[in-house]
Amino acid sequence: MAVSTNPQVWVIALTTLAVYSYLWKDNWAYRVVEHVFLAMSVAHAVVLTWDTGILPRVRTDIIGRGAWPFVVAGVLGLLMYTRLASPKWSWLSRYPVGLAVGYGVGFTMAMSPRPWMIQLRDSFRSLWVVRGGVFQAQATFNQWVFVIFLMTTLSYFFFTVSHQNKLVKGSAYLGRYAIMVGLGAAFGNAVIGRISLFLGRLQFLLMDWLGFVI
Amino acid sequence: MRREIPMVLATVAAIYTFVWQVSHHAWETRWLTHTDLWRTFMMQVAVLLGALNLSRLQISNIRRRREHWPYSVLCLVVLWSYMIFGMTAYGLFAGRGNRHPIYLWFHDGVMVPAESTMFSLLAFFIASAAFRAFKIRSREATVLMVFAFIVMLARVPVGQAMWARMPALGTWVMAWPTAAAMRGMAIGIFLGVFAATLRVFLGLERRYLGTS
Repeated sequence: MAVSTNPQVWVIALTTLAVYSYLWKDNWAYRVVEHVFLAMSVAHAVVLTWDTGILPRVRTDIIGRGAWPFVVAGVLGLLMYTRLASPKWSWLSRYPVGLAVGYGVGFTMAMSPRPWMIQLRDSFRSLWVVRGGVFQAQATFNQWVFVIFLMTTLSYFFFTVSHQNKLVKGSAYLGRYAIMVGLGAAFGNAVIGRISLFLGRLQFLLMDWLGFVI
Repeated sequence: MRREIPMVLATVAAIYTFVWQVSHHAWETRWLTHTDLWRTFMMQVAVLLGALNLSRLQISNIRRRREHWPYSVLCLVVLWSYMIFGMTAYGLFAGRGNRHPIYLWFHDGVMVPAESTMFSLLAFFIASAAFRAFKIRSREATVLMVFAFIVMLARVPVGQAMWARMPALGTWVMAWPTAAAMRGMAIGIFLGVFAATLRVFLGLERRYLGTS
């Protein structure tokens, strides 16, 4: 066992332990890291945007090519700050907000239906699978499972017909279980993902910091 | 005037983007690329808004001596010192501050591990939430937990050690019942998002313009 002498490794280790100390209870070490992390994340976003977004655009397009639309866009972007400057002028920030929202709306209306339509089309499946003239029992079973789970899930959210109707009621009842299966699997995936992160931190503490050889 | 013009701008921008996105002529695609760059630049210029808003919140905490206000001082000091250092490390207009060794030292030494550890912390809270869900003992909660365990066991070696076909079962659960249930939910989500988008497009939804 050889404890690391690298100061950065020590900082990382102490940061990690400070965050995990929250599992015991809310304490000053966790709050320090929490506030430092929040501040650094915001600062990092600003620095990255400045270095890789704003400066290259100003140099290449505005100064280099004299592309005036970027000046207009920049002024519109600056109008966003009126929101913080004064309530008297904050209405000016609606111009860039309106443009950005409109752009997003147009983009969503044009682009979002396609992937969903592809998924919808894919949902109409053959419920009797035959390949090369041979009936495929496993594939047929899978297709039935898929269609039943999909239809019952949809019926759970389907309110056009009253849920007093026996067919809809029964289907929605099964749909609740289908949703639980989906959410359970998603939950399992999320837990596994978090645990692998935890193992990574544990590995760092034991091997990189404390020098254990496993 | 203060609300109508931004609304008209939003509608014009929406129609413009929609038409340009669905048509595929070369000059239209070129125009869309240009306007996309302008919009991105507009949003980039406003990036400091987040830092200013955070500062305003922390200053308010300090002024009113709210609980834990000294941490707000720390937050402000770190925010502005790290940001100013990052932007000016090689000179304000050099544009290489994010690659300065000292900047990277703190980025890799504090930010990256803190982020990773915070996310891993959620494993414990998820586990405790699972335990509480299991305590409810409803049939739905049992189904949820059973399938969660199948997926978890399928992903770790111990699952395979328990039953050789566990990974295959996990893969099947993800590929068929889970995919179908998730697709059902996703279709509902898509319809909701599209309806909300349409409301903005038709001017029925105006909350994005703020109050008064």
